[in-house]
Amino acid sequence: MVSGIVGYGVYIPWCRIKVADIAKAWEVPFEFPIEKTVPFYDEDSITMAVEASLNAIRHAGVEPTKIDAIFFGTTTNPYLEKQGSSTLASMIGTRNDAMLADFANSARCSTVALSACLDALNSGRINYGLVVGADMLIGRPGEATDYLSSSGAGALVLGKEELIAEIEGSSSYATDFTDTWRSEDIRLPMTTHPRFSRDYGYTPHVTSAVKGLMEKIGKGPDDFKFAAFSQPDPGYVMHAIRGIGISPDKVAQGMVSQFIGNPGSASVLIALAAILDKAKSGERILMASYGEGVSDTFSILPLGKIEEKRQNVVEDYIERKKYVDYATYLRWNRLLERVR
Amino acid sequence: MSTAMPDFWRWAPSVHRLVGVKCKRCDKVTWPTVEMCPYCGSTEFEKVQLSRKGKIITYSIPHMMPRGDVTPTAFAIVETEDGARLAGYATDCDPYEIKCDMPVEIVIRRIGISGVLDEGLIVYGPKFRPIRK
Repeated sequence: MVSGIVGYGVYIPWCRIKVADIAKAWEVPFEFPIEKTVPFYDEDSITMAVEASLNAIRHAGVEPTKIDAIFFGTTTNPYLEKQGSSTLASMIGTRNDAMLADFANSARCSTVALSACLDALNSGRINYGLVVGADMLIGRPGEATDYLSSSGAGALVLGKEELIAEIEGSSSYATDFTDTWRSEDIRLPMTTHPRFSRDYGYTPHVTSAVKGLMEKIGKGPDDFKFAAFSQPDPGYVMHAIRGIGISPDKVAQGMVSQFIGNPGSASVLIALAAILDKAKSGERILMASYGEGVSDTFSILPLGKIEEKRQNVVEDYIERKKYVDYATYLRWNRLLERVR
Repeated sequence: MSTAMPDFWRWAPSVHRLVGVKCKRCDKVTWPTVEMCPYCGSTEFEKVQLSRKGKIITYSIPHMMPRGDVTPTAFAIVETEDGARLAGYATDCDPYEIKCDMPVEIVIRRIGISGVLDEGLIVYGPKFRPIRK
């Protein structure tokens, strides 16, 4: 029996900041994205993961007690030591014998979680698994990450019955490449020059992983109607698709980063959700994540059930917003503190 | 050594996923889980999962808060669809938006002084968000 997606959900914070406001503060113009999400001062990766998970479980129509495993991917777990998935399980209300696992340390951790969940399903160990990717990234003020890093969460309920989409195959490509890092003594991540990251990191890794996938499942670029990519920078995606043979109109539906920024591990899941909101049965989706020198790719085939369970979550969340200014953004993220 | 956690841990089912109790004698729903019904004194209960939707019963807007907390913010008492009453802060809103009888949904957010108590201990609990469409 094939494994696939039973339901999906996202969570996008209510507040936004216009990138032009950040550019005004630093006097460095920046065109894309147009705006990015700002987490409310009481939010973190766990609270966002809970909302996305509850949305996904509701869409799947599965009782939380039927979930046999939670695979939680985040690079910004609120604790350095203390599992996030157990807090998540307590808030969702899964069984005590559900298998819980955290995945971390890279923006691709959500797709590692997805691979682990698929393996557990295919081996017959679980019947339903929840995959969650949530991140609350804070950029270094004044640097490119300040304009891009944002927050959000995406969740998938995977299973073997009542599928809205089948996962046909997956492939990875990895090298030891460092373009984003954060060690114990620094709070905000360091990054390399965007062009180095794009030309030697994002593009070659994503291209190789996608080509590997196409070879594995015997499909070409024309067999895919949509493509969902991790979007550390919208420009990286447009650069990478040239080498793969995917036309820009195939990525357009999933290019949510221009409205929400780069929510790290959630980026690719939110892009996939935006596509699932519109995809019809048989319109194959290419999904590719990227994080520090590793790319995971998946081929996803929507099935007839997707029409019955049609929702429009990503657009709804993107439209529901309130703008905050740069000072509020800095204050909420503890980058601007009162001197007493 | 931290001594704050045991108390939060005991309340986790109520504050993490809104588990309340329904009195077997008077049918009233109470949150969080209690040992004795505040309405009739009975000690016979069944556990219930509360609805995540409710409405504002009353509220106030404090401008002075413990160090580190964002002000102003609205503090409200909310009645869920099941009739249980919860007290907590409003979130994802301008505090002056809050009005009596306003429909809200109950979400889990960080609570306490900027969500961090006792040397980095993070505490989560229910907050109220206006329903937006």
